Amino acid sequence: MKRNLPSAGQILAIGLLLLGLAGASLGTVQPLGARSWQGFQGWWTLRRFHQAESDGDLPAMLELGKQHLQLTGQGDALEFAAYHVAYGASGPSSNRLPADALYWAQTGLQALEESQDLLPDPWSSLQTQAYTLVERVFPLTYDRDDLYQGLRAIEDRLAAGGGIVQSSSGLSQLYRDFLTLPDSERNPFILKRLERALIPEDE
Amino acid sequence: MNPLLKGFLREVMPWTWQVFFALAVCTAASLSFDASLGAHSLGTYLAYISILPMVLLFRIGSVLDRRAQQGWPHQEILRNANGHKAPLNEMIGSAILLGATLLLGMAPIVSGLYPMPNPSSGLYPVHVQFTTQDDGTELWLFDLGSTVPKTARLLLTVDWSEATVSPENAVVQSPDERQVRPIPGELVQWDLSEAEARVGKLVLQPNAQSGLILRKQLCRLEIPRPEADALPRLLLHQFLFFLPLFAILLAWFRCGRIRGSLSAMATFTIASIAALPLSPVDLGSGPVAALAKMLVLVKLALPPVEGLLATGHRFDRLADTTPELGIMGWLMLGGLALWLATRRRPPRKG
Repeated sequence: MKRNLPSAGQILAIGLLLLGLAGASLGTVQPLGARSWQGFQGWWTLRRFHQAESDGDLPAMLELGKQHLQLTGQGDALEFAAYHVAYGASGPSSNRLPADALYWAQTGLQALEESQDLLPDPWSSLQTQAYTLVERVFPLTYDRDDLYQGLRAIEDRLAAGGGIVQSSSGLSQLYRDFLTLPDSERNPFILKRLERALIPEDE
Repeated sequence: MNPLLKGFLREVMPWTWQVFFALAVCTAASLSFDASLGAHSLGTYLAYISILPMVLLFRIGSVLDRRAQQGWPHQEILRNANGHKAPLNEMIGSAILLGATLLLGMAPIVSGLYPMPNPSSGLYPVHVQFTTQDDGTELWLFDLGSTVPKTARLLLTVDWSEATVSPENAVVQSPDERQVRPIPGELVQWDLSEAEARVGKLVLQPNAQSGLILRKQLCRLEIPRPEADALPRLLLHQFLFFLPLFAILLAWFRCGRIRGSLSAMATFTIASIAALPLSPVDLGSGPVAALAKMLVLVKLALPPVEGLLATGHRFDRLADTTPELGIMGWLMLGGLALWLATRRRPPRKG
């Protein structure tokens, strides 16, 4: 009986193929075209995010914002969702019970904190974090840690002069003023600035 | 035009496939650049376009299969005693189709149907570690993950609240004595040297016991994105990436004596490994690590051309990182494959 043994070329090609398949299943190798698929997934996730936004589905917005960040490295959707959930949904105009408002504020904050290492522009999310902690969470918990954490976030934002996208010489000067103060006056200084920013000058 | 070449072009790209390619380019442009629906990302568009050369690769594989079934290898001996003519024409045909496909990819932009997204800067997280020297100087060790473009720079947030050094005397410097003066309330901007960008790692140190605290979570790598006029260059890079792959496909098919579809799959695997950006991580031990090490060895055996296929949302990290020697090596590999493909081999029996 005639038996066809595989040629050296066939063995090499099949071996290479198996190596590539194993590498792809383990995540070591990304098959050519995977970036196109990721690009499409990112696009589709953003479409679903906009749908969730128009439906007012807050948990879906946060989840899709996180997915969009993972897929594309862009943090705009997550930052918008976190602001909407943490600051907007916990505000007085949302007419929620205090426990409910606190839940949404903390949920939004948690999403931001978990993703801070991945966010391309972390300095802008510090602002959302600080205002939510100081204006939303602290009045409901009266936990000093929440307050200090919020002040710390603003201090980091000032130290970066607002970051790369929202850089401002005013913020840099504010940080230099902050540094001239003794330790005991630093937190009240930031708090006072936060309150001044929260209440418009003409009111 | 040479009848062999004309026949090859017609067989690989009949009008149905031409329509498919044109529709694919339109869809890619719409998904990427449409004012309301698009992802507004040049990298995503390049990623969609890079699918077409792969489709072409598999299409040529199936045409080679069909030709083998029709007895072309036997006819080739009658047609040309040296056996050069058919593979050379197939290679020229592949190059023409690849070039035409990538030129088609420029059409939506050149025609003005879609505007290019505004170039901005990509910001990427950076892995940081701290160590302290004997004299109390803290070292900041940055790992950028892979080779990055020379235009990249580090943006560091420094906390001055416990600083013992005045802003006038504060310095952050690298081991090669390049230095920058940090200013309170401003990001420290460190332009990477060529070596730092190539290796993807760097060390910085502030003054000894300065009390400057680096905010680890707020360290970012900024890479300016290629501007609109970079599209032809980036597509040319894709051309240079894919061209040797067609020669490798022909070499597998003719020297390896395997089916065209299997040749295309093996070539696709080589391309996937070549496009893999290597990150300097400890692979550890065990069967999975052994496999990963094997893949790394195959990758290291190939020229470093992953930057030629700069696609996807993070394409700016890879664009323009390929050394010229790497491109030369990759093209020479293609040349070698073509030489192997044109060597006279007796036709398969049966």
